[in-house]
Amino acid sequence: MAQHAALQPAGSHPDAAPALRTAWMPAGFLVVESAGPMDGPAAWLVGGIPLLPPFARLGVAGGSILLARASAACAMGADLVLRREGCAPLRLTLDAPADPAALLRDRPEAERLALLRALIAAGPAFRARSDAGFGGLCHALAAPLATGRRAAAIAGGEGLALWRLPRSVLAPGDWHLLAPDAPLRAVGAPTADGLLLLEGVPALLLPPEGAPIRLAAVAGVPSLLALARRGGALRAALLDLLALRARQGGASAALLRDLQLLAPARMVALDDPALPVGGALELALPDCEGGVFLRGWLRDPLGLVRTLALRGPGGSVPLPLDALHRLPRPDLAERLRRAPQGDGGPRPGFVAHLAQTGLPPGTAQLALELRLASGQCLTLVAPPGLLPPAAARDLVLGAAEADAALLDCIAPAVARLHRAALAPGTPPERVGFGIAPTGPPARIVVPLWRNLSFLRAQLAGFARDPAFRGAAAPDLVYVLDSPEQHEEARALLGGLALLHGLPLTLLVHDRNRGYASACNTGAEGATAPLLVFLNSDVVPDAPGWLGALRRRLSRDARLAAVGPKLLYPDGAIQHAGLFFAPNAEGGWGSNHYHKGWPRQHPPACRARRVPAITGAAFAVRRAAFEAVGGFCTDYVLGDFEDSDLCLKLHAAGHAIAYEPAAVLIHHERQSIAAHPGHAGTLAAAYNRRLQDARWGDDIAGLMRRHAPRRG
Amino acid sequence: MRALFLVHGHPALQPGGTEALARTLFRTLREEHGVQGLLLAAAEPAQRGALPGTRIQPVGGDAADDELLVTLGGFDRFNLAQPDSLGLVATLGPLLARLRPEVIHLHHLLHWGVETLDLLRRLAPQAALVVTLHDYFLLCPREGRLLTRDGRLCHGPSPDSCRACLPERSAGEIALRRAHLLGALRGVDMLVAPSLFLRDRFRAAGFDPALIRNGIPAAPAEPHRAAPDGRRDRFAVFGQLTRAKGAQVALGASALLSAQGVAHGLALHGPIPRGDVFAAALAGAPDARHHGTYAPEHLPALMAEADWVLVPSTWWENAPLVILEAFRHRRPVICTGIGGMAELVADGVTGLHAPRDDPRGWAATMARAITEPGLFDKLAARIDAPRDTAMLAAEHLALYRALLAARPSAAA
Repeated sequence: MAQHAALQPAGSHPDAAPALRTAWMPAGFLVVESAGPMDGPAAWLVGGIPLLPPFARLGVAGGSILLARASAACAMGADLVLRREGCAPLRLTLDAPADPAALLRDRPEAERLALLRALIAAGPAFRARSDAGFGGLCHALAAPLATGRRAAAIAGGEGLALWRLPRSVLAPGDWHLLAPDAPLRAVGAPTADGLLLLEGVPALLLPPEGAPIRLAAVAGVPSLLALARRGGALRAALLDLLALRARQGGASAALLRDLQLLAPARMVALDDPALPVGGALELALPDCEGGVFLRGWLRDPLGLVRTLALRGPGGSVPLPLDALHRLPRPDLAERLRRAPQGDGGPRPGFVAHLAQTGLPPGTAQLALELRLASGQCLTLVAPPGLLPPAAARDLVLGAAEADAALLDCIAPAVARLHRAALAPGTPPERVGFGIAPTGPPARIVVPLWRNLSFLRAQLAGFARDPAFRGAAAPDLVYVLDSPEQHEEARALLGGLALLHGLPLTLLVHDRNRGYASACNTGAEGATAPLLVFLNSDVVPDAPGWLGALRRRLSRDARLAAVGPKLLYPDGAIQHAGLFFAPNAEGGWGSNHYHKGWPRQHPPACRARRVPAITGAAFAVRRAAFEAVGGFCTDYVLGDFEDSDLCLKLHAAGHAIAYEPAAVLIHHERQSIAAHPGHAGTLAAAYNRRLQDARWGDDIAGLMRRHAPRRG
Repeated sequence: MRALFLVHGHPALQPGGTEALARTLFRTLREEHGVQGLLLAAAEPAQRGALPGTRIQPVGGDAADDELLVTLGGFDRFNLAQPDSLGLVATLGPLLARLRPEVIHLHHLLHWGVETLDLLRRLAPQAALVVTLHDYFLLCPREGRLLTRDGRLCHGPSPDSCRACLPERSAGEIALRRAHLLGALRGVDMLVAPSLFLRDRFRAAGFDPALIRNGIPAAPAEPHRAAPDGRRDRFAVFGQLTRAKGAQVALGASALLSAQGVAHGLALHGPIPRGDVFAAALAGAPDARHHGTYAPEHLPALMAEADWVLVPSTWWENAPLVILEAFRHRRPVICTGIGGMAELVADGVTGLHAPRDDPRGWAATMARAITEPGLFDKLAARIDAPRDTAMLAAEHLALYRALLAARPSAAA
């Protein structure tokens, strides 16, 4: 592609200075060498058409060089004319192209190196970072100069490799990578040990001083992962270099993450009771929004630790000691008692949330540096903390006993991780069994999580009810929120749909998204005017319950939602409407009316307005449901969403009722109690706090209106 | 009339009174009353593996082509649930479409499962759906025996008593089982109870079954054994020789009689369960013999050797066919004086009652049977020939017709 214009004397004005000596056309550029300086205003024309800037003028011994982008007119035989004020025009005829590697070959090596660096310095004017031709030109200039200096990769592959340069070439300044068909690229300086992380080989590396270094083809060296697995200083240096690149974006964040996860540093704890300082960083969980949640313990009876810092790849950030929320750790008590200098006091544990660490994206494993007054530093290494957001959220919720005081620290991390856990993913997979009814009067939505054992009885209960047959049958939508059970749910529901002749739809979430999301997924695309949310462990007591709920709504236009009577399996009342009551912490808790009373308890047999109803069996007009945005997904794990929806409906001016003529059996909490993020964690406290913050005033008003009706 | 029978087993594969009774009823309806139809008997995969591509297969042997086996596996005996929904639909759907039965008679939910009941009701809404209750499976999760874990009689299931009996099950599971099963029974047009005792138990659960007592094929009675010394001291037990059937009670009583020097003989006919409990009891009873299993056609010859037939069951029983067999041969019956046994055997009239699960009481009753002069002849003289299968079929036919007449758009 490169063109070479032959030397042509300019003809009729031998006395005119400076004479044009050569014109080259390598790689889309025009290079003109003249026998004198070319400063001052001038116009260059090729074939009578002016060349457009940018121009670079470089002084050389005995003349100067002009660099311009070749125009469309730059072809073999075209006229090159230089017009200058007060001088006769100078002419040259462009000749056949030649090898760009021969460019300036007759000049001394030092001069060619200086020219190369001058050319690179002019690079920005030519948008060199995106111009493969400019890079090619530089490479063509540099290639003949790279004779003695070579470097080999020590690890990596074609994509990215780690190089070690000889100490003799290390110099401060700008380093550039030159490749035949790639734009010129500035690279960071090598580390003090000569380590450099580069992609794109074979290439030449131009240090700030001296000749270019030829980078040999990467072959026969271990992968970066293999290097990282060996650990030690090279692993640390590699991660630091990757962190530097990750800050600049691109794929390095992913590589940084993968190397930390696949070649993690071994967890380091200080748990020798003979030492005066002990501690561990048990969890260091990035929160998906730039922060990190920490959990661990620290024993420092002599007060040796002066400051803390959180270290990740590429650097560390200070962690104020008072950012740690200290908490008791009865699980450690026995071990800590053995320390002769003293145990960790009543609260050796800690949790902390740093809202912004400034650590690079892809950070997956962190360490805590304990900096002593003496200047010494102890390091606690956490296990890799980059987990699926829902799993990380559940760990945060379980990181401390139910101590509401810790919510200040835990809530922000939970909120961020919960947001990430609910980030849109693959749309739910839809499996249809049978032909869904057209224009159904109601849609039944059953969210499924883990426990499928009541579906057989639930569907039989539907099938034995005439309301589920014929033109007025509701459509049935099951939403599986534990996708690992896909095959099991599909086989079970498919068989039951066929057995009972009930068409139904199974939607499968791409991952566990929680009760509210599952309900909202099930409601999407509904055409029925009524939505009925049923837990999978709610089984009809007798036919007729759906009709009773529908009749109630049709009689009273002010109602948006109605809930049935729910019984425990032994017949005692489980739900006859839901009310709010002040709890010990000064917020609001919720409970059900008449819980534990016999099913015929007269007050529970009276239809009435109630503050709220349980989500276990929740009939709501679709228009009202959609107008308030469905179930709120901010709560964690199947709790509070139902009362939140009721509060939204009240705020929109609707009323809510309890209907005792509809009776179902609720095998309560057969599922959620088993969720790792719920049992014995702060989930309920988190949700309560969220609800109190949003709805505390509304609840107070609502309960004032309902107060006389309680019991 | 077109009828579909579903039975929990076939006599060709497993001995069993109710299986045999159901087939006899089916054949009698066919031969005496021209009822056309199909008998489907469930087979466990261990008995008959399924053929490729179908769950039905011939019974084999001399069975007519209106009797088929259906291989069903994976049955849940606690919930009476048949999980193979696809298999049920694929098997019963085409058969129902082809046969278009006016009457569907299900003889047990074992193997078929409650799902079959729901499916039959849905696919054959016009048919009269009849279920015979051969035991208490629908009320009692412990194999339908109404016997507690520690062997006491259960006087009626309740949430608390069932929980005490089934500590490995939650109250919710027990309540759900009951609600789920009884919910399916509500789709049945008529339940049939073979005994008043069983009917009362289901009445207590909110149902009102029709009473149709069992019957057996009519046949000549075997003459009584010649007893030159006048002693009627030969006893026989027929059927499964399990604990619930009282095999150990009979053996214990025999051992006591031997120890007391009372000459007698006890013949046990039937399969024995796994384990060494029976063998130990048998070893302790020198005048008892186990004769192994028997085929129904050999029963008359075995009866000929016996004076008395013992029915020492420790559970309520329903309407044991062995009592009818004994009466057919005019053998007085000594039975446990409870439930369906006491209902068939009048104490001191057609037999004797003995205390439940009490070898001493049984030994005393058996000693009385041997020693009381004229007792055997007095009781034997009062025994009437049992109901036969013609009566059984006629009563069922009358029930079917009444049910069809009561249906709004019954097919002729």
